[in-house]
Amino acid sequence: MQIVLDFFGSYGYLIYLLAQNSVLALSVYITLMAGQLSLASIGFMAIGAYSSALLSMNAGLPYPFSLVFAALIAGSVALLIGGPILRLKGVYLAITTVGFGELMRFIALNWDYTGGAMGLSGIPAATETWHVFAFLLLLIFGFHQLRRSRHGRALVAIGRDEMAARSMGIPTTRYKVSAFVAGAMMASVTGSFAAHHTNYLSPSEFSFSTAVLVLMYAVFGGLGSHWGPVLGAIVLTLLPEMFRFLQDWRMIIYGMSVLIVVIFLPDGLLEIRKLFRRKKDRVAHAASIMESPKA
Amino acid sequence: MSLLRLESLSRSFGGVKAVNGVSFEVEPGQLYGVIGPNGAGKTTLFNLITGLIRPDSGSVVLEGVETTRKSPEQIARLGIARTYQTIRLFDTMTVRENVMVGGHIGLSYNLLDVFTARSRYRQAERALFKRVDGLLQTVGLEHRAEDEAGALSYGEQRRLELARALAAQPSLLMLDEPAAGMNTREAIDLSNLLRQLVAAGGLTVLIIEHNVKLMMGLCDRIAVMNFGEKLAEGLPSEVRRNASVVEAYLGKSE
Repeated sequence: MQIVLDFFGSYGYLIYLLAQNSVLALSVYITLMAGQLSLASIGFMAIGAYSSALLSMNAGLPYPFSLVFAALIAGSVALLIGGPILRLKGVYLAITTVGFGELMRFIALNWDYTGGAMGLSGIPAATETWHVFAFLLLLIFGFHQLRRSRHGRALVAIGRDEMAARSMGIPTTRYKVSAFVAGAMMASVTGSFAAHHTNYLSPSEFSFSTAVLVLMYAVFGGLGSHWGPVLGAIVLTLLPEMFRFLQDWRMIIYGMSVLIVVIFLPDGLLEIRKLFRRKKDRVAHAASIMESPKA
Repeated sequence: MSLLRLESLSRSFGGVKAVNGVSFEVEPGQLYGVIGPNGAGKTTLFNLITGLIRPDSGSVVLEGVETTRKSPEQIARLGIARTYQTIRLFDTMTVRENVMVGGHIGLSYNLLDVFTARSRYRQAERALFKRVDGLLQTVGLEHRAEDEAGALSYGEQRRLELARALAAQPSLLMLDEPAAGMNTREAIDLSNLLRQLVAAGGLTVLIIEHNVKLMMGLCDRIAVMNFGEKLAEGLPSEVRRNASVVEAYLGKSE
C-alpha cells in the first residue's frame, strides 16, 4: 500500500497529465476527423480555465457548475466564430486558429480581471485525478459510438471529400461547426480541470508551442481511430520522463525517437498493427505461391 | 409529369458558354443519355442539375419542385444521386462504410440515440447494414466489403460509386461516364445492370457517356450536345440519322 502511495506521490502529476493530454488530443482529433486542421484547442482550454476559475472565485459557483458553465461559454464562442472560420481551408484555417489561440493568451495577459502576467492564484482545489480519467473514458466511449453512427461516418466522409459528401445529402457546414464546438467544449473542460487542480493559472500555460504539441499527440498517434490520439498523448507525455536519465541529451533523443516513428510509421503509431498484419499477409501470400505448381 | 425538366439552362465561364440554353425533359423510368464530344458541356450540365454550380439563367425542375437555387445537399435530399467522372470515393473508409454514407439521408436517429444505444439507432443501423449487403451483391463487391475503398481496382471503384449512389434510394440516378476505363465485357455488364435496376421500378437514369455505341443500345432517349448547345434529341435511331450529329462527331464533308 505504501508503495502505491509513494508511486502516486512522485508520479501523481504525470498520471494526471496522461489523462489531460489525451483529452486535449481528442479535442483536436474530432475536428481532424472532419478534415479541418484547427489549432484552437489551447485557446478554448484557456477560455475554460479562466472562466471556471473566475466563476469559482468571484461568483462562488460550486466546482461542477463552474466547469459546465465554462464549457458552455467555450462552446458558444466556438459556435460564433466557427461559421466564418471554417470557410477557410488547410493552412489558412490553421493560421487563423493559431491567431485565435494567441488572441486568447494576449487577453489573459493584458486584462486586470484575469490577473495579467501574474495569473490567477487561490483557485479552490477541487479536481481529483480520477475526474479527468472518468471524463476521458466517457469521451472514448463517445467516440466509439460516434464512429458507428451516421454522424461519425458523415464527419469522416467530409474529411475525405467534402464535395462528394455534399452530394450524399450531408450538410457539411453544420457538421464541421458541430465538430469544432465539441472540440472546444472538450478543451474547455480540461482547462477547468487544470485550473482547479494546480490552484494557479498563468497565460504562459496556453502558448503556441503547447497548441502544436497537442496536434502532434494526435498525428503521432495516428488518425485512423480515436485510439491513435490517446496513444500518441500517452507516449509523448511519458517519453520525456523516461529519458530523464539522459540529462542534457534528453530532448535530442526525444526528438529523434519522434522522427524515427514518423519516418517508419507515417500514418501514426497506431498503424504498427498494420505493419504486423501486412507481414503476415505477405507470408501467407508467399506460401500460397509456393504451394501452387507453376502452370 | 416529367421527372426532370430543364428550361433553357445556361452557364458561361469567362465568356465561354459552357452550357447554352439547354432544355429537355426526362420521363420517369427512362434511361436518358447525353452524348457529345469532349468539352461539349456535359459535365457542366450535370453540375448545374446537382447544384454544384449555379446557372446564369434557366431553371431545373425535379418532380414539379424547382431546384435551381438549392444547395447540393438539399438537391440530394430531393432524390438525386450521382457519380463522378473522376471517381470521388472516401478512400480511407471501407467499401461497406462508403455505401453506408450513401444511405445517410435515409437515417433519422439523433446523437442521443447513438450514445444511449437506443433501439431506434440499433435497428436503423442494422437495416442499413443489410441493405448495403444487398447493394454490394448487386454490383459484385460483397467479397470486398471490409477492404479500404482506396485499395480497389479502377473498375471496382466505379461499381462502388454506383452502389453508394444507389444507397440514397434516389428517384433520379445521374452517372457521369460510368463506363470510362472499362473493357467491353465490363461495359456490357454495366448496361445490363442499369437495365435491371430501371426495370425493377422507381428509378430513372440520366447518363453522360463517350461510348456512343453503348448508349445507342442502352438508352430510351438521347440528347446530343456540342459547344454547350443541344444539337438534337430523340430515339437512338433518330439521333443516329441526324445530319448535324454526324457532323459534330465526324466533321463536315466538303
